[in-house]
Amino acid sequence: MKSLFCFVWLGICCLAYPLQVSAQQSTVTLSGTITEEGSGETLPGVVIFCEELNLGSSSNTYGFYSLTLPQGTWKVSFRLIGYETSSIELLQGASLRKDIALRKEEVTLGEVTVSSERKESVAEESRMSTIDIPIDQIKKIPALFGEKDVLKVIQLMPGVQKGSEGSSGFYVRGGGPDQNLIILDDAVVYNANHLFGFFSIFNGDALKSVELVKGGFPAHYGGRLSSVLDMQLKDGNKEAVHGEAGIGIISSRLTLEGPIRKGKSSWIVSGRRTYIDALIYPFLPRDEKGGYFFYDFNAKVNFILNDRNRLYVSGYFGKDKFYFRSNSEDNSSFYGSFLWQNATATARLNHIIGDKAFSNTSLVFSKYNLQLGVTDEQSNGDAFDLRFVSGIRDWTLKHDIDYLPNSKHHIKLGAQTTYHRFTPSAVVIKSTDALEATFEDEIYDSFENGVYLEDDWKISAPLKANFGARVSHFNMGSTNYFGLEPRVNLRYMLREDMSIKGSYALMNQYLHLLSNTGVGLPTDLWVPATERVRPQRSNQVALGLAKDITNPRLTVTLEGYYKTMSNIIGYKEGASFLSVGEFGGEEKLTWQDNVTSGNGTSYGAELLVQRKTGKLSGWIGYTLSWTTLQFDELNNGEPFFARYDRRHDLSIVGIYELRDNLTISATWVYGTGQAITLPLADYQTIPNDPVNNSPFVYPTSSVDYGPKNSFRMAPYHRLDIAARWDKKLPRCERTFELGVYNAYNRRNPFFYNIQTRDNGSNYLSQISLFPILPSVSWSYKF
Amino acid sequence: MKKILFLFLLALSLFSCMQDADIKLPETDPKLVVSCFISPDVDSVMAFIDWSRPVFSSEDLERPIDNLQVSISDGSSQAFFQYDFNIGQYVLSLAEYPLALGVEYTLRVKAPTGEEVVAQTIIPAELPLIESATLDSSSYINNFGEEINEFIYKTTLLDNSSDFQYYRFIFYNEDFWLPGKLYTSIEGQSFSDDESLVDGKIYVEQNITYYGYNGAVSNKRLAVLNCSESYYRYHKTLQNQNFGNPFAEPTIVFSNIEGGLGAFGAYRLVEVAY
Repeated sequence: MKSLFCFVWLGICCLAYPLQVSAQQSTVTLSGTITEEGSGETLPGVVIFCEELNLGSSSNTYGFYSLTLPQGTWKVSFRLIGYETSSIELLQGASLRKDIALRKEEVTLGEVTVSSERKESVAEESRMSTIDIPIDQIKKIPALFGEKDVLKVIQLMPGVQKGSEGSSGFYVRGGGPDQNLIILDDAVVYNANHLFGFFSIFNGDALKSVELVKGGFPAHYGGRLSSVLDMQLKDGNKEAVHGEAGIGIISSRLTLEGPIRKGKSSWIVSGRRTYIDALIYPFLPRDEKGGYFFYDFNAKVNFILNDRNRLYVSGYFGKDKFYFRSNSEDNSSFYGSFLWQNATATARLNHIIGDKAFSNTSLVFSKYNLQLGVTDEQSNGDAFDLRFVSGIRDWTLKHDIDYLPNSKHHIKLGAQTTYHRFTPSAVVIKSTDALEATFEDEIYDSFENGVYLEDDWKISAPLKANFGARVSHFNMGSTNYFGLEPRVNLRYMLREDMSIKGSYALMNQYLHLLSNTGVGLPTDLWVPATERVRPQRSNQVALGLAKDITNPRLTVTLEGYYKTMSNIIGYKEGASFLSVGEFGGEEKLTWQDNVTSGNGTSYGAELLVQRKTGKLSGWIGYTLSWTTLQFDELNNGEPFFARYDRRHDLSIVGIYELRDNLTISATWVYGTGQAITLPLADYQTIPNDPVNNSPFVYPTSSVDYGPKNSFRMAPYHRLDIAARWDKKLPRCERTFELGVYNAYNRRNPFFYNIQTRDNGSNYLSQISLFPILPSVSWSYKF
Repeated sequence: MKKILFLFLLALSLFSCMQDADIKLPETDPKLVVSCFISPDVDSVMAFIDWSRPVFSSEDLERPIDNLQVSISDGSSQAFFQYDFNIGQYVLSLAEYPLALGVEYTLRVKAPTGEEVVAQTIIPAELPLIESATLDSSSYINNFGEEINEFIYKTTLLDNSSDFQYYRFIFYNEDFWLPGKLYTSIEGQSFSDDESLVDGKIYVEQNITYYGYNGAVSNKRLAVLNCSESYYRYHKTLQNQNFGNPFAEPTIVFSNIEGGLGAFGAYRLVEVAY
C-alpha cells in the first residue's frame, strides 16, 4: 500500500518538476522571498501586483513569491497592510530573482494599523470560511486573568462556539473538539489546553500567524472534519537580540530572540510558567504538600543555507501537573499526581526549485500523554500503587510543492505519511495484598497517508476557483480505508467590491476522541479507526456573500452552510472513560466495546462585520445554527441536539485607540444555553423475570430524563473590558494593562445540581465559575 | 486521587459560587409507569404499575396504584387485570384469557383522575431454535485461598425467520446460594439481535465465575427468549443504567407506553439443562 502511494507521488512529482523549466521565452518571471526589514521574519500573504497588466500573486507561508508577466518593462508593487508599499521596476529581458524587505509602517494616531494580515480584499479571495486572526489584535482583546489566548479569540468568531465557561475548547460548525486540526509549525497538537481547558497552550508572544479554516478546505489540509487552525511560530530576529517579558496574575512569560549569524540565521525561545504552587507552598503544612502548575516552552532556529535552501527546526513542550503528597508520623505516606503533556518537534527544509516553484519537506514528531498515579504506603508495610497512562505519538514526513506557472495558476501538490501509535489506556496496579494486575490495552500502530493536488485558478476577471482533491489512506493491521476527497471553492465578482462564493468539501477523519464531557478534557482518549469503528466522514457545502466597504473600511461576509457527518462516535449509555479497561470484572472491556457510532447534521448562517484598521477596530459576529446527532444506541435511536448546539451566538469586539499610548477594548458575548439532559422524574419499574415468573422481584429505580439533551441551560453572556497603556522608552517599550473579566458580574451556569430543601422538595442550583474578576499585567519589550 | 481532585475543586471554589438557578424548570406531571411482559408459555401475566414522581414538583408525590383499570385486548376480545394486594401488581390468569401467537395485543391503563396510557406488542410466533449448547468448566484456588469455579457457556442459535428477531439469554443455576430458583444476576444475561447474525446463526459465549464456593455447582440452566422489540430495548437500556458513575452517559430508558413510561412486551421461552 505504501508503495502505491510512493508510486502516485513520484508520478505527480515527475509531472510537476519539468513544468517549471519549460518557461516560455515570451514571459518573464519575478520571484524571491519577502521578509520584514529589521527582523528578517518571512512575510506570508504579501500581494505582488502589476497594476498596468492587472496581474498579481501573493507570497506563500514561507514568504516565497513568483509572478510571471509578459516581456516588457513593468512596475511591480509589494503590498501588505501594516507595511510600507515597496515597488521595483521589471525590465525587459531575463527573469529576475529579487528578495524584498518590507518596512513596518510607523503608527500614527488616526491611521492606526491593527492588522498586518490581509492578502487580497475579502471579496477578491477565492477561498471562503477562512479567518486570519491578527496577533496584534489578540494581544489587545481582554482576557481572563489577563492571559492572552489565541483559542479564546477564535471563540469570538462566527461559526465557532465555545465549550463551557472559561474553556478554550472550541466547536466549529457543529463539529466536536476532536474534529479540529490544530497545527503548530506543521505539527499536530492533540490537546491544546492547560488547566482543564481554562487556558490554551499557545503563547501569543511566540506566534507569527494564526489562520482558522471552517469550511471550503483546500486540498492541502486533511485528516479532520470541521476545522483547521494553522499556527506558525516566529522565526526569530536575524538582525539583533530582542525580548519580551510579562508578569500576570496566573503566569509569567519570557521571549528572547536574536541572530546566530547576522542576516543568515536566528533563534527564538519563549516560555511561560504558573507560580501558584510556589506561592502557596510555604503556607501548606509540612507533612501535606500539594499544588498545580503548568508550563510551556517554544524554541526555534532557522538557517539560510544558501540562495535556494532554508532550514527551520522548532519545538514545543508543555506540561500540566496536579500533585499531592502527605507523610504521617507513623511513617505512612501518600503521593498522587495527575499530569498531561504535549511535545512537538518539526524540522523543515525550504527549497526554491526555480523561479516558479518552491518546495518544503517536513519531518514532524508529536506526542501527547496523560498519566495518573497513586502511591499509598502504610506503616505496616502494606502498599498500593496505581498507574494509568493514555496517549498518542506521531511521526510525520511530508513534502509540499508550490508551483506558479503563470499569473493565473497557483498549483499546490504534496504528500504526507504519518505513523501513529495509540495507547488508549493502560493500567498497572501493584499491591502487597497479593493483588497485582496489569491491564494494558493493545497498542495500536497505524499509518495515515495523503496525496493532494490543488489549483488556485483565475479563470476570468470575475471568476476564480480553487479546485483540488486529496486521496487519503489509513492502515491499521489488515484494515485499510481509502478516501477520495474532492474540494471546490468558487468566487464570482458581482461588483468590484462584492462577490458571491460557494464551496464543497468532503473530509475523512481516521482518529476519534472518546469524550464524556465533550469539552476536550485531558481525560479524553484518542483512538484510531478500526475494523469495528469506522472513520468519520463529512460533506459540507457553503454559500456566501463577501463585500468590502471603503468608507468606513469594513469587510462584511455572510455565509450559510450545511454539513453532514457520519461515523462519529460517543460512549454508549452508561459507559464512561472509567469503564475502559475496567478492572475487577470478569471480562476486560476495551474502548471499542464502550462506544457507539452515529451521524450528525449541522446547518446555519454566519455574519461577520469586521474592521481591521482605523482608530476603532474589531468585529461583530453572529451565528444562527442547528446541530443534531442521531445514534442508533443513544436516545432510543431518536435524533437529539448536540450539547454544543447553539441557536444564537453573538460576539461584539471593539478596540479603540484613545490616545497614542492608550487603547481600550471590550468584548460582549451572548450564546444560547447548552443542551443538557436533566432528570425530570424518578420511578420504579420491574424487569421481567421469565425464569421464575415470580412477582417477588425488587423494583428497580429509574429516571425519566425526557429526550436526551432536551433541557437548555440559561443563556450565556458576559462583558469584558481592558485598558492598555504603552510607553516608549529610549531602548524599550513598556505595556501596562488593567482588565475586568465579566464586568457586570453575570452568574453564568457552569453546571447544574439538584438539591433538596428541608421540606423535601427539590430545586435546581447552579454552580457559576467566574464572578467579576479584575486583572493586571505588565510587559516589557526590548 | 481524591485529594488531587479535592485540591482542584478547592481552587475552583475560590472563584465559583452556588445559587438557585434562575431558569424556568421543566414542568412535568406524574406519569403512569407500566412494566408488563406477556407470554403464552406461563400461567398468568402480571403488570407492575407505578406513578412517576416529578423531580421538581411540590405536589404530594404519592398516588394510589390500586385503583386503576388495566385491560388487555386483541381487537376482538378484552380482559381486565385484577389488583393483587399481596404482591402489589395487577394479575391476569391466562386460563381465563389465553394468548395467541403472532397476535398484536393492546394494553390500556386508566386512572380515576382521567390519565390513560396505551401500548401494543406482538407475541413472537416462534420459539427460539437452539442448535447447540455446550458448557466448559474449570476451577482453581486464587491468591486469597478462595475456590474459583469458572463456567463457559457456548450457545448457537438458528435464526431462519425473515423478520427481525430479538433474543435474551439467561444463564443461571437453581440451587446456588439459596434453595429454589435464583433470580438471575445481570452478569448472567446477554442480549442479541439480528445484527449479531453470522451465516444465519447467533453465537453467544458467556463466562460465569463463582467465587469462594467450595463445592460443585449443579443444576446449571440456560433460558433463551425470543422477544419483542419493546421487551428487548427496554431491558437493554435498563441494564445500561449506571447511577454509580457521575461521568457516565445518562441512559434514556426505552418506553413504548404512549403517554407514560415503562414497557409492554412479549416473549417465548425455551430452557436448556446442563
